[in-house]
Amino acid sequence: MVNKIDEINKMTARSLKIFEYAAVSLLSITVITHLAKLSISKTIAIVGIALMAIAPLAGVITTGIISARSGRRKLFYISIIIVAIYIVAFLVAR
Amino acid sequence: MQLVYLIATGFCAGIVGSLLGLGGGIILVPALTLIFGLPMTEAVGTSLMGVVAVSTAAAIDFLKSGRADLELGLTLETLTALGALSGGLLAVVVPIRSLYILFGIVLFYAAFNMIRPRKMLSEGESSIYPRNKGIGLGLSFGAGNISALLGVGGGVMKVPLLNLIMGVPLKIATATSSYMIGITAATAAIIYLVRGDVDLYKAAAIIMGIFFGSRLGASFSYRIDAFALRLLFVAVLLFTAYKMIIRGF
Repeated sequence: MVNKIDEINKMTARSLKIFEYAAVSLLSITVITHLAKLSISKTIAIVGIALMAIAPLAGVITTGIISARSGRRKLFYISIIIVAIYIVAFLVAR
Repeated sequence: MQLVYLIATGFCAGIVGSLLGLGGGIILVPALTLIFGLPMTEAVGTSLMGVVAVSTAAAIDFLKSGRADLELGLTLETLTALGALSGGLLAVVVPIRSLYILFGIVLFYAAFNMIRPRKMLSEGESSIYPRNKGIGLGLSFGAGNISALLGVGGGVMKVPLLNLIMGVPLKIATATSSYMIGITAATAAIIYLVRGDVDLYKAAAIIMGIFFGSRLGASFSYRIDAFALRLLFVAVLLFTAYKMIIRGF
């Protein structure tokens, strides 16, 4: 069981890292293009900010998938609840 | 030029956040309102994006090293995320002046929490956890509300909750709280983002600063006198709390 938790932790950390690096790369480009007064900067900013905002959600989804595969049902259901709350927050805000 | 100052603000928030284990919101919201002149709601939304960045950077290390209790964190997060959802919606109806005052009170509490003698449970005392799960879940809901209303991560509330009430060892409590902060802040941030209460360029500059600041802070964490930094930070917190409360009246 310990190895399974380790695997869930590592995969969650990995997905967080991917989203963080992708978001920061785009946001760095945003700052540069904004300073250069290029119109594309707003589009890049939206994508970068969105990536940063969903990074924790990506971590939760990864946790859910890996825990489902390794038979940790409780963790899987909790992940689904959190993702559902996230989606409700998005829909309510709209 | 303002973007450069914002990157520097994010950089400082990242350094202090990683050195003192904070989400960064208690630095970002006062800086955005008092220095950069952003309206409170926009400052909260923009700060929440910064808090997500600080938490994500910290959570990666804590998860890799196995210090964060993922199952406990996610269990509590169901209620904290719900709290963040209700807090994000409440932010529209709560008067702005009361948000300033509430923020000042939270800053005073954070300052007190940093200098009071620690009565945290040791590893031996908290070998069996979690205790008082019901109370923990209830208070998590409150922490989520505060986080979404004020744009802070809520680490100053979550760590004592996990350690003192639920009996989680301090190291695990700090790591689990860091991981939870990101999910809470992201749930609230998505509400502010969709409503248009996040300044995209300011958030971009702050996140960039945080990315580098948090890494530098982590590499200095073993060389810097944390107590001296803590005292300096408490003085800054008390001054900022005073300024925020004055603005509320």
